Amino acid sequence: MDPGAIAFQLIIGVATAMLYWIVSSGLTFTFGVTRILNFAHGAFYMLGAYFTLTFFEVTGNYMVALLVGSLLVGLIGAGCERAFISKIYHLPVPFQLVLTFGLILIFEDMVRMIWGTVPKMMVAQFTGSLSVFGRTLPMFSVYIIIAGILIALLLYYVLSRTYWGMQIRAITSDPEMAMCCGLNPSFLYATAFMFGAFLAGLGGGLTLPISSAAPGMGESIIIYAFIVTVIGGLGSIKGAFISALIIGIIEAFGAFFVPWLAIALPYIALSAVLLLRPEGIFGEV
Amino acid sequence: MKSKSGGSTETIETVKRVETVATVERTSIVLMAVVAASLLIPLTGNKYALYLSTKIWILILYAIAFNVLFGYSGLLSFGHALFFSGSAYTLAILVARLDYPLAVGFILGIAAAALFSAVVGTLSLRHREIHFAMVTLAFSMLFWGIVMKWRDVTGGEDGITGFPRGFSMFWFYYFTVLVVVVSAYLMYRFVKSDIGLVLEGIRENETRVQFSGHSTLKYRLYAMLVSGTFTGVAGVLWALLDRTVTPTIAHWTFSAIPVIVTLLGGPQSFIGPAVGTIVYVIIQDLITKYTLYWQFIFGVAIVAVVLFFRGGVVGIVERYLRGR
Repeated sequence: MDPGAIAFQLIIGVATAMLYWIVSSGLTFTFGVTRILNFAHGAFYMLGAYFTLTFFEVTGNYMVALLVGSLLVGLIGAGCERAFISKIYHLPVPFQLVLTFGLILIFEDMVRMIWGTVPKMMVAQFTGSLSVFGRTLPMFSVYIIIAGILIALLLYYVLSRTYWGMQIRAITSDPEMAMCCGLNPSFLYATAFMFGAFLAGLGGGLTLPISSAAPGMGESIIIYAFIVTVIGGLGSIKGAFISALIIGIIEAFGAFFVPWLAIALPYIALSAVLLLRPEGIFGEV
Repeated sequence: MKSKSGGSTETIETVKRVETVATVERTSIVLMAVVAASLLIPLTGNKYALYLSTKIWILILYAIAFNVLFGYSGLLSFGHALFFSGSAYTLAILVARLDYPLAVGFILGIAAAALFSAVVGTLSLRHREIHFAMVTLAFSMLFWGIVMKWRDVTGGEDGITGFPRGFSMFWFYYFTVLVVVVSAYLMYRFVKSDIGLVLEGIRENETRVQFSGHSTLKYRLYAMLVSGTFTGVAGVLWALLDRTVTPTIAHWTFSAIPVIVTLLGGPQSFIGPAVGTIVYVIIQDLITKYTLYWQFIFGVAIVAVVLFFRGGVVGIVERYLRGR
């Protein structure tokens, strides 16, 4: 295998990784703040895809549709937090997992009711390709990498440079002290959930150019997001970024060298990390 | 029925609930009546009802076996599909591919589940809560990956067919009831034994049990073994019922079934998961007759249970009985 092929495979891996990163960033962010491992994140991802699709049909502008769609998903996320999630913060983990799983079922059937069961494709976007090392790289890979980096920068900016980000960091590191200082936990949890759902919706909308929107799409992506989040360390945003890169690159090279094993590789990675370092790469116990 | 509590918030309430011999007797009379009534199902000659009730019995075993680990030692496994499909696939491979007799496949299938649970237990029992759920999920999905890709042996996405059931559907029903009732009785004896008591102690306060000189890891492994092995029993029965195994039973969504039905029925009681299973299958079956959107109604039911009825169906019945 020549160096060009390795570099090319690496780019493909990074593109996959960015998709995983975008979805798991919201999951790990929400978990970091609220301590809820949210199955319904997959549903938000699915909603993001469908909203983007519908707004695209109305406006004809993919970027506008993506933003409006994701913001709407964010609002729905906030609504869910107020209506359901805020009632289960004190419950044991199994109840939390099952409730959010129930939300997935509800949202999936609502999508079936509104958009039907047949997967929907969007009009092709980001067509064309680049020639890299003598191979054709789909333009979409380039866009998804740019989007991933932009979202990483956005998260960094929001959390370290805005007043809201500072409040979120405060309530994450010491909820009681933050409340004593007059921060409003209900507001912060709801908005954190909204932001997480927004990121999930963004992920769903961003996959539209290469894959169709289908009612079951959330169920499959959520497991990948779990894997990435747990490997990186639950609640660690930096960890999610790194572990998404690891999983994406492992998958890209796995598909190349050991195609028969590719489907199991993320799970092997997860088992290995959990056995050697249960708290994840950047996790705190 | 002795009350069990899944969470520390309800512990005090649990301690307060002192159960009388009368309730246990009443429950067992109701249980026996239900089992006896269900024995009449094959005599009606309704093939669909026969198939559905066989399936319910198998899923009941699956849920009760799962709850030995979850309800009694507080460990949430998200990978029980591994033991279920592990035994089903072992039977299918032995019988359909290697021409072993059905009985050998049946027993070795269960043995395979025991082996899987020993291995997974050894590797995962250091972990708690979410991390335990994630390790078990990882192992089961690893197995799913192997099943999907190792086509020569597992048949990939198509699965394996072409092995006999050994019984007609009529007698297979009675065989299933017998196996499930005996298995449930053995598990009941297990959770009511001294080991079961220690397990409950670990669930409520692990440190104190350690101070009393018990190896909590050892007891957890016992629970894992019992839970995994009987899940395997359910798995081989499932393989025989359909005379087919497909990767669906290895996927994580199949691991979610016992979690949901247990919470639906009530993890605090031994028969809670069984009640939850019946509700689950009937909801799924009845609603699909009227509307395509059974998931929606089921999702609403789950959310309602978590928000308002955390004792599950059994909890509601108990509250009603005590209220009188």
